[in-house]
Amino acid sequence: MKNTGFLYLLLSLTLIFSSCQKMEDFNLSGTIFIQDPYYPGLPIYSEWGYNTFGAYIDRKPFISTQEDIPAKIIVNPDTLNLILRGRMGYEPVDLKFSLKGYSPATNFDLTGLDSITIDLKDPGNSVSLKIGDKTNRLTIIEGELKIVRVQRLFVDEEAMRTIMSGKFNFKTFLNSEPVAISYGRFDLGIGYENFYNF
Amino acid sequence: MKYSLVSLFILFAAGLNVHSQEMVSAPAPKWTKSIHLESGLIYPKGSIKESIAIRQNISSYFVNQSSDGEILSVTSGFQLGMKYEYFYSRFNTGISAGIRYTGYRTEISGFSSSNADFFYLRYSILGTDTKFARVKDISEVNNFISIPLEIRVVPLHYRDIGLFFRAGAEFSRFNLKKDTNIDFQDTSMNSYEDNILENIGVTTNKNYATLYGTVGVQYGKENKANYLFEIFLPSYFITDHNFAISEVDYLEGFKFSVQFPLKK
Repeated sequence: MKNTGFLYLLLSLTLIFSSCQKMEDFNLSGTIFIQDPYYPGLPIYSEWGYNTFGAYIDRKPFISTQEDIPAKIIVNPDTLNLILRGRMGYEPVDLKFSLKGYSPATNFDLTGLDSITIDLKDPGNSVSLKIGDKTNRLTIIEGELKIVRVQRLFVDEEAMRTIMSGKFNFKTFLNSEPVAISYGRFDLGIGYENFYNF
Repeated sequence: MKYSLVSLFILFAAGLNVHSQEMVSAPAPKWTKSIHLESGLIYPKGSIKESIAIRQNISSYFVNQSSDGEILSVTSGFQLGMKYEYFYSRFNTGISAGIRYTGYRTEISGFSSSNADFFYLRYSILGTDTKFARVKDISEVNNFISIPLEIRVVPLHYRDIGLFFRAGAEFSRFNLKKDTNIDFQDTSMNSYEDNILENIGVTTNKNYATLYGTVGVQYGKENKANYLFEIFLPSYFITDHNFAISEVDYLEGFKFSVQFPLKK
C-alpha cells in the first residue's frame, strides 16, 4: 500500500514537472508563406520552419493556409502518418502519407528521419487524399517522399520543436484518371500541438 | 562604374568652369589658402549580410510574402573633419587634404510577428541541432579616422553665392573602436553573446576607403568666412567588408562646412 502511494506521488511529480516545461512562442507555429517565383502559387522550398507546404495536383496548387495547422504527425505503433492539411482553390484537402516502420516516441526523435528517401510504392506505405468529404486511397504508379532535413530547433538554448523539410512527387489515379502530384515541398514545425503518439 | 561616374563629374565640372571663365573676369590672386571645418551625416545604403541568418529576412523583391513580421537594417554615419585647401582662383579650383573622423552605427531591428518585439537569429547549425536566439536588435559601431583628398571646382559664382562640385577620396587604416552588440529578448542569453558573435562572423576589413562626389553651394564674401552646404551624389566604398552586419552598396548624405581664409 505504501509503495503504491509512493508511486502515485512520483507519477504526480513527473506530470507536474513535465507540464512546467517552457512552452514555445506561438510565433514559431505561425505560417510564413513566401511564394516561389519559379512555381507560382507554391511556397518556396525552405528549411526555416515556415510551416508551409505546397504541391501541384495536375496544375492546381494545393497549399497550406494561415487558418489550419498545416501538418500533423500521428504515430501508431509502427506507422508514422504525416497529414498535410490545406486547400486547393476553396476546397479543403488532406494528403496523408502512411509510412510503415517509423515510430518516433517524441517529436525530437523525428531526427531519425533526417536525409531519407521513401519509395511510396514500397509495401506497407500508403497515401490517401481527401478532397472535400471524399477520401481516396491512392494507388501509386511511381513516386517518392524525400525528407531532406530534420532539425531539432533550440530557442535561447532550449529545445522547442523539430523542423522537418522535404520534397515529394508521385503519380497516381484520381477518379480513374492518371494524375501527377508534383513539385511538392514542405517546411514544417513539429511541436507539442501537432505530434501525437498513442 | 565607380570611377567613370566620378570622372564624368569632373569633366562636367571642368566644362562648366571654362564656360564660367568667359562670364567672370576677376583679377584675383592666383593662390588662396583656407581651413575648412566640416560636419555631416552619411547614410550608406545596402542590405543585411547573408551570413546574418534571420528567420523572415526576405531580401528578394521577386517573391510575395504572407507574414506580419518585418526586419529593418539602418546604417548612418556622422562626420567631423578639418581640411586645408589651396584654391587657384584663376581656374576656380581648389585642392585640399586633411583629417576626418567618421562614426558609423548600424542597427538591425524588427519583429517576427505583430505581437512580438523580437526576431529569431540563427547562430548555430551542428548536426541535426539548429539554434536560434530571440533578439531585439543587433548593433554595430565603427569609428574611422581617415585622410581625405579632394578637388573642388566652383564653376559659377554670383555675388556672394557660389555653386561648386567636389570629388574626393578618403583612406583609413584606423578603426578606433569597432563594436558589435546583441540585445537579447531573454537576458540570460547575454552570457552567450561572444560565442554567438563568433559563430555569425563579425570580422571587418581593417582598411576603409571611399570615393565620393558632392554638389553644393557656398555663401560668403571674398577673404571672409564662407559657409558651404553640399549633398553627396551616390558615392562608393572602395573597400569591402567595412561593416560586419550589413552589406553596403553606396552612400548618400549631406555636409555643412565653414571655410576660414588664411592670410598670406
